[in-house]
Amino acid sequence: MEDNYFESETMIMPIVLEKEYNLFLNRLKEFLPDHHDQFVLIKGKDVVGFYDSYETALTEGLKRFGNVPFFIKEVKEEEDVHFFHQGIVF
Amino acid sequence: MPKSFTFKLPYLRENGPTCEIVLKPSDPTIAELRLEKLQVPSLGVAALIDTGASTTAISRKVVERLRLVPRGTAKVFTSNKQSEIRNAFDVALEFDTDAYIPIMRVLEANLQDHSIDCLIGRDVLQYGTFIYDGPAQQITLSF
Repeated sequence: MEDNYFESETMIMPIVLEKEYNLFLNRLKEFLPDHHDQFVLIKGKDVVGFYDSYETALTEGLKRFGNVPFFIKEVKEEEDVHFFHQGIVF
Repeated sequence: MPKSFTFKLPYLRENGPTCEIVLKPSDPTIAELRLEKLQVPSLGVAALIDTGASTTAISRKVVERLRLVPRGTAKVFTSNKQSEIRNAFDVALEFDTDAYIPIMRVLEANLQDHSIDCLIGRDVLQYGTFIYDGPAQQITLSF
């Protein structure tokens, strides 16, 4: 298993919530003072709210919009970057 | 009392530590599907336990079969040493009825050339103990 699971673009879906992600990045500084470590829920251009857990944000999103794409992200200065074993640099 | 699973794997070195799991939409999503009187999909898949992965990932096949919709994005670090954005989804992960994680945020990965449809990362392993027993060609996972 030494291939890179994330190398090929061909079998990966296009990014569906890119506009919401960009909105999040653009407004992150504004969110940080009052909502650090909370989870923001964004639908389209609307910031719906901030919640104490991912589960609460997810439940609220499902209640408001049903089972459709919506954007949830933890509010923190630096976004987590996920590593896989191929990312190890010797 | 912790729930423990031991899998005998004759090709442990060649194939890595794999196990069978069941993936479903997350519990809150299942509740919504039931409200909408829609069928709740589930899928049994082969998963590789990957201690080198910081988070759990699923194949596009899983995304499509479970009819998952994105709940956000996540950054992954790739072999070209740059971060890239991927869709993030929420699922429930079941080893059996006694070891069940009702909400997991997972990423989509390209697993088309592999015989697995899920990478189990350290976000799952943080809840348990994983033993890789090379001489016995078996793995044990306890929660």
